Amino acid sequence: MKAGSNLEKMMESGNFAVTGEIGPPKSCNGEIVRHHAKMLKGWCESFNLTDNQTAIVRLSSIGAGQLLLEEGLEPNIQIVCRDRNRIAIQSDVLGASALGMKNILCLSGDHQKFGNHPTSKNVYDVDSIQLIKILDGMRNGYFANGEEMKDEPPKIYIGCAANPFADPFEFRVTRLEKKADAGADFCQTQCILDMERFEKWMELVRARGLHKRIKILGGITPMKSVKAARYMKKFVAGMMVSDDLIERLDKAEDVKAEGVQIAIEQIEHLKKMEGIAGVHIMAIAWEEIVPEICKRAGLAPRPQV
Amino acid sequence: MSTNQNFQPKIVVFACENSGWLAAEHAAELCLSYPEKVEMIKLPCSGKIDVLFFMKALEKADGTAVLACQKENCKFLKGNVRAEQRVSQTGKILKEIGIEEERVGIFYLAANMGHKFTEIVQGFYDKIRELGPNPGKVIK
Amino acid sequence: MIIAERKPIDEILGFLSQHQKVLVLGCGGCVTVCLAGGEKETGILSSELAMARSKEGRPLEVAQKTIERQCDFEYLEGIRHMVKDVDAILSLACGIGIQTCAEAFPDKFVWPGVNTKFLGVNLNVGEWAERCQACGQCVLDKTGGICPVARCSKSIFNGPCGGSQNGKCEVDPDTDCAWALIHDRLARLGQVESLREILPVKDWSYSRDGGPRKLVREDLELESGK
Repeated sequence: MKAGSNLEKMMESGNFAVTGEIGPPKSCNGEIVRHHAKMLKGWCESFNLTDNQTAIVRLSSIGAGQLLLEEGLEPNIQIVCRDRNRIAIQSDVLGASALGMKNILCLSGDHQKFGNHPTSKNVYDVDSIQLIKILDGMRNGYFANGEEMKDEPPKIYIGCAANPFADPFEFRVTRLEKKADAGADFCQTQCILDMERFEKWMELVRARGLHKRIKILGGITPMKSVKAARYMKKFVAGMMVSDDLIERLDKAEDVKAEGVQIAIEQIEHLKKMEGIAGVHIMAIAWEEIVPEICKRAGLAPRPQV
Repeated sequence: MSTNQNFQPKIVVFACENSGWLAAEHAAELCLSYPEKVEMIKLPCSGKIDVLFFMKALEKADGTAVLACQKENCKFLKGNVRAEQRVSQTGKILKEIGIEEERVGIFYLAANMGHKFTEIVQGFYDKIRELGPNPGKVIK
Repeated sequence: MIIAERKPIDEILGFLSQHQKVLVLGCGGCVTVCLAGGEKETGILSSELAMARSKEGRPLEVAQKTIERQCDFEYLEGIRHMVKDVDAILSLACGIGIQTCAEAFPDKFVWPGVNTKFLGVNLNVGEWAERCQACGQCVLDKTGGICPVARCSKSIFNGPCGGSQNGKCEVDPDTDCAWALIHDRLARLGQVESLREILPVKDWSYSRDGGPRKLVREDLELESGK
């Protein structure tokens, strides 16, 4: 065990894991985080806490992580490279670890151009792969500069993201390999809205044996409307939405119900796919639907390990 | 703008030697007259005109124009297109400093158009007279 | 080349509002090539300023001059006699020239006439693009001659990030994804496998982050010092 988190235990014991996601609010109102925590408790092994997602200022991921711990949930702290240099990031890793947070997810971060502070300066002192390497060094007792820690190193289970829907397609697998080489233990994929493309990517992943080196959780996002699906297909860079999926939503009488049904089918499909260690459910601004999806997809109750 | 009947605008006309300049000579042969305070400057092609020349002209003149060959008929193919672009660039600059962009113009004609030449020059002169003195004139 | 763009006329007029006599100083270097502050632009701006102030009824005496390079003290020495007669200099050089000018004439106001944009290349008439950030430690050997520091929106070293699609950057659909370019070029050269290597964290101390940079080459220094 590297960190001994629920998530790590679940995956290392070979169980199909479930992670969720909570987006902290644009305020210091911790009750909002607690509300989501109470609603989602017990349905997932751990929950990602986004780090100023889409470059919009929000309650910090570590702050929200503390609220989750108090509510008895396990956090996955997201850290993006956009806002902090290697000094600040390492400091935050130590802080998070001191508070008992064990899962940390390394991301490049959305460019600030799309956020609410487009005139700000970005940092990108290190990139996401270098960040994984730094965290791997830290848990082995070394700072990024090579200096040995005088005290006990932080226990971290290192996560990363992979986007099978961005380009160049084949290089996406190489990039996952680089993340595994850097020391990442698990990877959550971009939400799958084009299963065919995802399967092709997984074939390449398996051909290189990567699924044996890094735990892969397939990203699931239930769609709430046809409009949202069309928007994602057209305007979100690095996103693919299959025509079949749009057609199903378009034809459905109850679009939301159909969105949930599709998500459930996707989970069932992923459960059978070789090399998939679990699912990461991102119900953006629709957190309350997570229990229903988990229940109906046979993911509840969570096994105790 | 009020028109002072005594106001005689000063105009600088840049003329392509393949059209405007020859048309002016043709007008002279026909004994056609045009206002006195129009200064003519010969260009090898209307494409030689530049924002800089227009601006320097307007430091002392009330209006400035370029006479170019008919469209699609430039000896150097695109000289008159470039001239048109520079007229619009100059107009934009003038507008930014609060001076009427109509003080710069472009007219197209052929070498044998003596009458058209006087018509153009008289017309531009009258328009500038209507506008009144160039408020940005530096050399008065 | 350094790419610059002339500042809006209203901003420049604002700088000069307190002056009666000004020298508009062009530069024969990069700003001439990128059409922001060469001899022609100096002439046009001089006319604009003189006309705008004449219109306001507060005439501005404008002298104009374009020198070889404003980033060399020697060339600035040559205009000392002109500078003596004016209240201020409006420099159309890049940020380097403007500062050299200010340093050469400590008793004169020196105003910037351009915004210095980036180090780049001229792609088309009227179109320039950034190519270098002068980070101080070139990595082009590892990236197929395409710079991730200057051309990736996130300056990442192990790209492309998840926002790369159809060879374009998520930040702007008109911008090429630098890492897609790097990938494709290395693939063409049969070197794509080299991208499996994790490029280590960059030593930014060679860049601006190490503080203002200075280069001293003792081999070139004369014994007398200067």
